[in-house]
Amino acid sequence: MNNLFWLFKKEFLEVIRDRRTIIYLFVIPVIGIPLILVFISNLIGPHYQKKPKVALKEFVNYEDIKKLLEKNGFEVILSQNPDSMVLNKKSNVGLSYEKDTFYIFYNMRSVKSLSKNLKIEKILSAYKAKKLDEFLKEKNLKIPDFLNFKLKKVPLFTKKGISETFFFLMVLYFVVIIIQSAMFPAIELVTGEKERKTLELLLSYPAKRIHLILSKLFVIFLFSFSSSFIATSIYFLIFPKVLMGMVPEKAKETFSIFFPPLSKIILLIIFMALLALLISSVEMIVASFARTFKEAQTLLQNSFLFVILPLFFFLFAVPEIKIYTAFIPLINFIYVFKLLFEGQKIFLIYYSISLIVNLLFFIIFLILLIRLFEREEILFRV
Amino acid sequence: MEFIKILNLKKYFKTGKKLIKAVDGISFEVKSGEIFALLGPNGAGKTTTLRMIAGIMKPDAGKVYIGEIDMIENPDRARKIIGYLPSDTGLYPRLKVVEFLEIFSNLYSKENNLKSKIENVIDRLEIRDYVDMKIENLSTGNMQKVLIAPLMISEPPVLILDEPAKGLDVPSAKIIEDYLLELKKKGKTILISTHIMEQAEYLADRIGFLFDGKLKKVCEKQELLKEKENKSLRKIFMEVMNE
Repeated sequence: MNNLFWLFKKEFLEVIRDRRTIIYLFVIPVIGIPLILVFISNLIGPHYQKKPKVALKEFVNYEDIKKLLEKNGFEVILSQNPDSMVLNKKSNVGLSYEKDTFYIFYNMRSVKSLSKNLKIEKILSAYKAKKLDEFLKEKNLKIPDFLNFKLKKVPLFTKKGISETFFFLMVLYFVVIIIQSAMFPAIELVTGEKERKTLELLLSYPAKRIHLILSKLFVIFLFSFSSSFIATSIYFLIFPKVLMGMVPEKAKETFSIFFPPLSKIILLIIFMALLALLISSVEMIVASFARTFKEAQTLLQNSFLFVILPLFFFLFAVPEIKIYTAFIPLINFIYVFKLLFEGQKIFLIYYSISLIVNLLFFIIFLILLIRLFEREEILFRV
Repeated sequence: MEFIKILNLKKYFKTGKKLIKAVDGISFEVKSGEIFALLGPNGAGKTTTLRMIAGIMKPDAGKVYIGEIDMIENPDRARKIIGYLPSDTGLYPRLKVVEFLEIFSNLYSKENNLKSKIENVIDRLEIRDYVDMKIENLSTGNMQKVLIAPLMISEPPVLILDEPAKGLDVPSAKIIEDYLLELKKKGKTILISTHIMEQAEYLADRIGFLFDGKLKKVCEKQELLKEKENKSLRKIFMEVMNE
């Protein structure tokens, strides 16, 4: 244990005196959170605060449609070229009528335009049904009962979608913080030993290999965990008041950020620590294959992309929690964090499986690390 | 009594399809209170041999005994009584000299009077002015002194030093050499490697000539001095290499 303390002290001093560590430990969480705040406010703003705009080309009886659109919350802009209005982002959707056809113009790359064009389609269908009804009444005809049904869609996506996107983005941000803040300590303490040619010196001292590995791992973990802890603290200190102040009352049913109760804070800390531990061990493994700082940085950044991109796509493809995801490391963390951040009730089975699975993976990575630190071609690959 | 015993030690490296026999079946022993010097040109296998004896590399074949301890079976136990100084090593640039000495001496020794020992060695190596400096700001010579300092503080029974005076000026090299002679008198077992023939002659009781991974000759210093009456040390060295 005594050796472990002295080794830890050595690793800690080496890392804490590296400017990059301080940047990742404090600067990125401190700057990152306000940046996310700006991003999120831009995401929320158009949905909740501004009226969607529709560019409408005049035609016979267009007044009826104009009133209908305004009644449904649209701001109508009369224009001769609704398509260019949409393309120039002056309106979210465009509408014109020519030769018995309504044309709805929308921007394929805008989420808002996509959702609003569906809304217009719905308004027009309702308009058509109403007009048909009036016509039939005028002719004293009646729609047969089997055709006389109403269709009502409940637009859940818009509000919940924002909430989903927000929490996933936040959780991904914390995962990125953990990965990034472990990166430089891992490079410094593993590849750095090789590049500086200090590894031979260290190995010659009477310290057990497991102590060497654990001291390095613990320092990497410490910085990674501290960084995510700082980021989370800033999040909970800023977001419940600042961001929620920007969210309109009607949206708060599906989108709320709050300061969590103690039980959830403890769970959050446990899972964050476990993720930091897992990431630290993986980054140590990757860094041990590199010979130089530059090589380690390339290797780690590539593996980082290799992990984050599929993760990103997976999460948007499977937004709802599924029990099988508890068996997939990293993915299960994201869902656990999301549940905790969203303030949903504690899903004990999911948490327990995730905890066991990740602990198992950590043990596997630790064994792998011990094996790697026995291999001369890895240690002396300079 | 021999304290280091090496039996038929082998280490081969593969580079592509080529097999390099870095150490090819060498055997020798070093007694307590003796300085044994491995003398050889660059690439002779000195560093690989010392790395295996210090337990940093595992041999492909052969045995290494430190006292009664089998290094291959019990490396952690054996390392506790070995002090090893690598030749081509760096240092931790962001650590202060005093921190390095404190940390690395504590890895060896659990003694209570470690602090006073550290102070003594700082004075002896004449590095008092640099103790609060970061290692990255030291000269090469001072770095070498800092490297050897934890071994001087903890004084393990066996010292394995790869090119101990590397990068040192003459007065600094003299401090280290005198210190090694003092340790020898205290009964420590010392194995050094060098390519400087004069250093081997000055320090060693016995010299092993290593060339192409093979130990060509082991001779007593007296024997060498006798031979030296007729020819120069350089000539003896070349003759052994060409045998």
